Amino acid sequence: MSERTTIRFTLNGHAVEVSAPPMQRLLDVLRETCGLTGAKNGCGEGDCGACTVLVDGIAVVSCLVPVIQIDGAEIRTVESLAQGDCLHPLQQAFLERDGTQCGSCASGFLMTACSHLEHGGDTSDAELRAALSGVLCRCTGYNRVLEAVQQAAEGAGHHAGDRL
Amino acid sequence: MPAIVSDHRVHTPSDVDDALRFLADHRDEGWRPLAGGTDVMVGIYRDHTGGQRWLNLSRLQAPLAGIRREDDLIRIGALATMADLRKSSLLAAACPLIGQAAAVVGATQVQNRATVGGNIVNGSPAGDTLPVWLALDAELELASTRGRRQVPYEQFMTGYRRTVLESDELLTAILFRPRSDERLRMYFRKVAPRAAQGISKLVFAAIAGLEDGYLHEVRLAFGSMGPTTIRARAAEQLAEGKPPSLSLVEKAAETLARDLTPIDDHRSTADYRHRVARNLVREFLAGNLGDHIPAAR
Repeated sequence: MSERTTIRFTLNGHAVEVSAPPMQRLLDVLRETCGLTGAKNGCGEGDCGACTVLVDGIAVVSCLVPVIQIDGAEIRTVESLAQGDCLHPLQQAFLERDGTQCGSCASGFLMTACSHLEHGGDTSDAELRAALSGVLCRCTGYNRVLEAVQQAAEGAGHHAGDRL
Repeated sequence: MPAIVSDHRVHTPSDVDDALRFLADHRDEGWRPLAGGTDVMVGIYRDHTGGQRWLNLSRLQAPLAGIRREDDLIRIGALATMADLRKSSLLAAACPLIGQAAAVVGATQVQNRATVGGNIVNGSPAGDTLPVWLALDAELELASTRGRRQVPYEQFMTGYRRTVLESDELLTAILFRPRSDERLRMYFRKVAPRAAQGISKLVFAAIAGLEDGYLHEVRLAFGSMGPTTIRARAAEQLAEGKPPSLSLVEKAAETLARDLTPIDDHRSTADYRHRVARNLVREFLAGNLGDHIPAAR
């Protein structure tokens, strides 16, 4: 049997309506129904953070969110960061500081960092490491990610008009 | 996408009364509460379980997620998230162990969704917040159309993933007496393979009073050391009313095995768990309380 539910939410600023089984993972709805593959399917158990997206501004692992629970919510994925050819300050900093290598964890780091900075999170090494500890990287290591986020945060501090 | 997800049924009540009425009308049909979903979703997708019925509580956050003082007690709504617990200044003052435990439940992305009620009702002996409720002598408020009842947390878990929650009941709140007395000593420790987001080999929460150099109301509570969270009662009784001398600390540590029944599993061994439990109790009783051992005694 296939009970489906109609779910309405805002996805990267656009109103969308999908029909899905209520316990389907938000991750699958984003990737397969909405065609946004920026959130990655990693461990599927909430450990690796590769599927991190923002639900009403809060970072969550979309592999553990049943789509029924995002009815009416505002979802932001990594695809929302760049405006046309203009990269988000976090993306620009990841590029400049080599914060990404294979790219599998990049969207998870970007969205986790985005939420942390938007909520005025501390950017000291210790606080940032704790804030980013839910995203696993298996190639580039964490120092460059940390430096990139700190660079983006400093840049945003210097340019009050930036989007961070 | 595993086809199995289609088999699940979900009902989303609009308020608490609606939820309780629904549970009463559909008793014994297997409806289970769905809070943050961080355990439920792992179960469904890793184990490919299907055909379950879920009472989705996502619209009940307003009435059920608050943290507040209620007379002499602190009341934590069952839908408060781990992030809410971690950030609450009220809880930090009332018992810092709660925030410490909430901060080690997965990573922030999980803490933003996982609820304290889910951690409790899920009934895993490895639940990271659970020994804290045991050490605090916390009470759980269970609601149904038949009324509300209060159950000591210690009596809530009856076995591995078994609880006294009836099929028409919802856990609505956790209640406990705040502990801000400076003479109290508290301790929380999660032992896992790595610092961030491991599953516990064991969890330990402890509270003890120390008056005039004598221990009282000693609570030594463990997770992952048996089928339920468990208090080391023999060691507690041994320590009660005595000064935390080194010989007492040793005796208490050696007495733990009377209550703790850990197993060998993929996360650790019974032997290692016993050894670490003894060390944690030593550290709590001797290390944390050691400053207060009167020199001449």
